[in-house]
Amino acid sequence: MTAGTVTAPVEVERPVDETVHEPDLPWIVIVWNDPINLMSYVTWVFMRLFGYPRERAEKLMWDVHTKGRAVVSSGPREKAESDVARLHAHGLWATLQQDA
Amino acid sequence: MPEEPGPFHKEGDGYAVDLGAGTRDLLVELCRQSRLLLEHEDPSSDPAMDRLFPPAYPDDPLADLEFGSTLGDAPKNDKLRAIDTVERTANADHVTEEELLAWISVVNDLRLILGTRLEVTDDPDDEGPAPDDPSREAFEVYGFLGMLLQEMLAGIGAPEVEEPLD
Repeated sequence: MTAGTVTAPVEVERPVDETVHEPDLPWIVIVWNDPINLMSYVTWVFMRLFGYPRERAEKLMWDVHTKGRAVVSSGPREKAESDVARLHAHGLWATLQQDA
Repeated sequence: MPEEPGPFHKEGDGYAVDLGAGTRDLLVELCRQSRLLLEHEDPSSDPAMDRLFPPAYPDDPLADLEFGSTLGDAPKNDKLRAIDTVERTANADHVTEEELLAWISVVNDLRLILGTRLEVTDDPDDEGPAPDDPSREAFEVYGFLGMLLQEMLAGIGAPEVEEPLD
């Protein structure tokens, strides 16, 4: 961002997709609470997919259960998408978004 | 006194499966129904399918479409392959770890399908439909599958870490 007088740019056509993704911000993977998955199963999936020790996996599971959601991993968009796909394959309700 | 082993426990390089014929028959029948659902429905027409294949970008339909088309049919085919494995090993007394992982995956998917259909809630006091309700039987099966899943998780113990996809 620059201060001072600048020439006003010509009107720029906005792209159809107005979602703007800042390239430098990491992507976060969120798991949402659902009434079906067993708590023991959710813990087991976190251990299996991310290699988290049981204590960390259980804490994340409790966050999902009591707060409604938890960030379970983050990184570049490709990795976050891969994590979401693997969570979906295991029946967890996961989404990704760029960290705000 | 050593604890009585559960229906799934470590045995040699795999796992013993100690289940009655009724449970095995039920699983085969549920596999058949799940296969029909996977082969004939899509997420837009069936809430259970939407639960099995949820959106990755719920607020960005374009990104979600792209995400889905990158994966193609792989997620569905993985589920169908797991069903194949359960059907093939439904009467086995011993399964490999890979086979038990397929059982876990299939039973959890069945819970997602039934739980979505039954609109189950988080409420621990939710006793489900009344005894004379037509969906009572599905609710009992849902509960039974939950116990079965617990037994499988107890049997397999701490999981091997899955290699991430490339």
